[in-house]
Amino acid sequence: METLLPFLVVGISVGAVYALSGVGLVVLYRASGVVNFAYGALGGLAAMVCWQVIDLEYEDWMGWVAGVGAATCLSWAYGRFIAPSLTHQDRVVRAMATLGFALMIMGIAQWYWGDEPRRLVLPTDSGGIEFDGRRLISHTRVAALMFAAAATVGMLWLLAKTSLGLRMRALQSNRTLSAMVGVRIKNVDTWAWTLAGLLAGISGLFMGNMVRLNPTVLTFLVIPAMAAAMVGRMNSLTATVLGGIAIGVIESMANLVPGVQRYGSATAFVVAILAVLWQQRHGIGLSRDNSHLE
Amino acid sequence: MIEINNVSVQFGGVKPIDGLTVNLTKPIVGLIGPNGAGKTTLLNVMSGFVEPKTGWVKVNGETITGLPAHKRAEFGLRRTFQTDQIAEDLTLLENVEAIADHSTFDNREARRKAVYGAIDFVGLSHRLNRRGSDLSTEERHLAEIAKALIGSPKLVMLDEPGAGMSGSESEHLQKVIRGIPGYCKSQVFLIDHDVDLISACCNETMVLDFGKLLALGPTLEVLKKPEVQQAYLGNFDELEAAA
Amino acid sequence: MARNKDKPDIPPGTPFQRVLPMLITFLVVAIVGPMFFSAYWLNTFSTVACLTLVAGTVALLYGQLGMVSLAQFALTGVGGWFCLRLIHGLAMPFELALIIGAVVAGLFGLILGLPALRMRGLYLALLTLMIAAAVQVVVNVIGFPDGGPGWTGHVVNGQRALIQRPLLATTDTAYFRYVMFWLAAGMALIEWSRATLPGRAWGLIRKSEAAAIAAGVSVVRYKALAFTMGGALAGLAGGLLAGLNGQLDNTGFPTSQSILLYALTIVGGAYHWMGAVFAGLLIRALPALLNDHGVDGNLANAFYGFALLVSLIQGRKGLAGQLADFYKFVRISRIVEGSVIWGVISVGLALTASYLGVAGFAGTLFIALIALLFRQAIPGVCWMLLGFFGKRVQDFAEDVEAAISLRLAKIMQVVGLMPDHRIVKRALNMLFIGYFVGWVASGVFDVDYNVALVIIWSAIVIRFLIELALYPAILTLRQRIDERYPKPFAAYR
Repeated sequence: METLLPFLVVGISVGAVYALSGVGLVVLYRASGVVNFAYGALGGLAAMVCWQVIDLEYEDWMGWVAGVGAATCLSWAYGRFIAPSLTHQDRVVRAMATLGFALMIMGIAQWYWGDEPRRLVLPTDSGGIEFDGRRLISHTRVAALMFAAAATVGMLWLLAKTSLGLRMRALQSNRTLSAMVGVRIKNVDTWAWTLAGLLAGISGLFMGNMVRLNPTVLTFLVIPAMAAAMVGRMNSLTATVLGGIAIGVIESMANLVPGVQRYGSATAFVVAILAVLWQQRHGIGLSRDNSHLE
Repeated sequence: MIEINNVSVQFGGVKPIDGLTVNLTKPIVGLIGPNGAGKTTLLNVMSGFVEPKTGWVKVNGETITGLPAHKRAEFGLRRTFQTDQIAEDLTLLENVEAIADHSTFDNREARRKAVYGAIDFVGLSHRLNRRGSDLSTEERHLAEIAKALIGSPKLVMLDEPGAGMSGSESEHLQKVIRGIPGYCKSQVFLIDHDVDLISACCNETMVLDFGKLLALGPTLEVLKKPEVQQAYLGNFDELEAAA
Repeated sequence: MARNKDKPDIPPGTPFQRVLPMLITFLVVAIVGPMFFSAYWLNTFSTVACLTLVAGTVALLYGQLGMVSLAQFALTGVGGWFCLRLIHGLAMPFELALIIGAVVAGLFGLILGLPALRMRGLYLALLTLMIAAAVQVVVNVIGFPDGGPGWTGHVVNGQRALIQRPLLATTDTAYFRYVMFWLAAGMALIEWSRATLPGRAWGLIRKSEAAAIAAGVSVVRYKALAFTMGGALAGLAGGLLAGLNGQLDNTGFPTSQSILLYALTIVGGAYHWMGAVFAGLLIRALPALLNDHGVDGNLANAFYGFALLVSLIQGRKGLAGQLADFYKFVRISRIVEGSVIWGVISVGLALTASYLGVAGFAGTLFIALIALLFRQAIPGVCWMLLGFFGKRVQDFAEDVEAAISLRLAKIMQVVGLMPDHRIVKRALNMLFIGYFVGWVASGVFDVDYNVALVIIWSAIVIRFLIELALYPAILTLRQRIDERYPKPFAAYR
């Protein structure tokens, strides 16, 4: 058990960041029906901007603000100016549009900053929780965990208790009807994208610290995040968090099994595939408007 | 002939159809009823998308309950849908050919006759090569009907075929519907809200309300019945009390 | 959708008529290509051909059935893996291994299609993304067979063995033609299916699965057919890629390429076979070109993302769709006029250039032809891209251009020249086409950049002058031909 503990703890902390990203994805999906492929790219941009600001000898906190701010602003801009041109198209098209957005951000960031090895250092890196004389988990990872929990709770509260959340849920349920009843789609959508950008920025900082500070790598971290969101059926925040953490733990534990070890990075994907197959195990039926099967 | 025997459908706590028993024998039968009366559900039962909890349905003496949805076309049941289902990327001709692909014919000539005949019957021969996305609303509805006439069907079920049509377009539609039994020897089951269409086309009409049979008989008689009018318009006493 | 009531209803044509233009194009490219390109570019274009086939399968699934499959490139890797394994392990002849690899990939595609039966579009996209990502990891770990031991057949330390090219196609030129043959066969299969019973069934399913079922169409069967076909052809491309270099690299099938391939298939156009060709060119030829010029490939990615966004917002059918629409309605008279004038100009310039020794005959011919052929299409795309910034920006730009053109046209009229109301647009287009094609050509054809610019601009100016000088004669010719052949090109099949 003792040998397992460090793996378990690392697993939970990595999983927490997957969970955090997953939460951001699910919240945006619930509010606007868009699966945001640009989530990782926005996070990557936040991490690079943060590093750049710190590299220019500014205060640490300025870097964080600049990074998260950049991600939030870009995401707001997308939601305000580009997403409205696509609202009448189906979900697949709107998701693929965010893919275009992701490629743009990633391309420019990778071009500007290149592949040089860099590190994003956070002040919480130096301390950690000790156990038996060994460092078990750095404060950064604890912070990531706490932030994931706080974000989940915050989003749940937002959706359940605020009028904005109510309007978001109305839009998810039926956009056209909600618009007719008076819900201002553009307004709610913009808020959803802004929040998503905020979450993306913050999770990007953590990812940049814990994984690698490279725009391309960070962009593609959206895929494990999606895996977590798929475990939650793109709907349940709690299931997403649990899914993310489970992925992190399994991935970490895979390091202990000799044959499986090298395939560890595929954990998220395999978990997602199994989750989807399990969720779809029931038969197919007719949708309410008789237009398709589901 | 359609025989419905004690059919009930349950979705969770809702019972859209409740112990329905009725025999429909006339060439063109209409089905009307207020919203939520169970009309589309009955249609779904007959086309195989919904399984009834109790009871059975027979068409021309053969039981269809239990037959999977994709086998019902082969059996001879055809239906149209409320939202039109014309493939946008295919031309009208290709749309109808697509249905013919999955029906059996004696030879190529017979198939050709069936396809071009159906399109001609609904009056769309001048639109053979027009893409689905470029067809007008009326043309789409008529194309749907043409598709339903392929392959010697036993029963053609039309779900609100006149939605969105103007007066003159509606007249043409009435002519088409009235001609179906003569054209392909099949019975027609017409579901609609348009009372004009129903009275112009249907020999007998069935009225559903809250999943139960309210009336059945010659169309004009049924429409005059007070309980039918009440189901649609409400009680005059209630209206006065509310005023 | 607003419809131009003047446009006639053109029948789509028999399956043979629909497949023939594509086959002819591929045949011409296969025969003529090696005459123009160096060995390096021939191999690049062989890769392009393979990727075009994969893009074709992406387009098949998305264009016909609305299903996003991000796993097609992964299936390419699967096909390549099995092809290599069979050759290394059982010393199988290339063709046999190629086909078996394709069959296996087809089976994988079928398995992939099973969850697709129960899934709505977006979820399927995510599922295929997960599969592509998982395959990337697996391929990274086990590598591709190269003569090593065990079931993976992969050499860990030491010399990697390459497979031999098929006996028919050992040289680069021969292999290029070999690949083009398979590309033509694969795309013909797809096109034929689209034009016959499967295509019609897919059309019905795409619109409404319920209606398809009610009409007696087995949704399961036709979705399975699409996925199997898509998988098999993607696997075939994988085997061909393996044969090109004798090996495949375990870093060669990243998820990013799957995603990019899908994005570029949309940009190229998912509803027409030319779209797949554009996708192949964009994903492979353009980066090679950028490399030549020392431009960072990441900017290309950024541009692709932009292009994808614009394509989706405009809701159009990609580059290929727009070209197809244009060529469908063009008149015979214009085709004759164009062929004659462009042919004369291109050959003339090519002769001049090779006589003066500034550039090769073939290269000059090609450059001039491309410039004349696309002198409106490519800038047209750019004007369309302005639409990304909003309708108002696009309208504003057009208005400014029109105002300036009008002023200049009035001046021209006063001076005694024929007024051209689009002169600013034409000038801008000419500049752009010069720089763009010149940049492409100087990389591909080994022609000096400035020489290429001169060739392109000369071609366009000469054409303008010919039109100016011979306007009455050209008009009469056009009218005569229009009288004999009034209908648009597509109606005369």
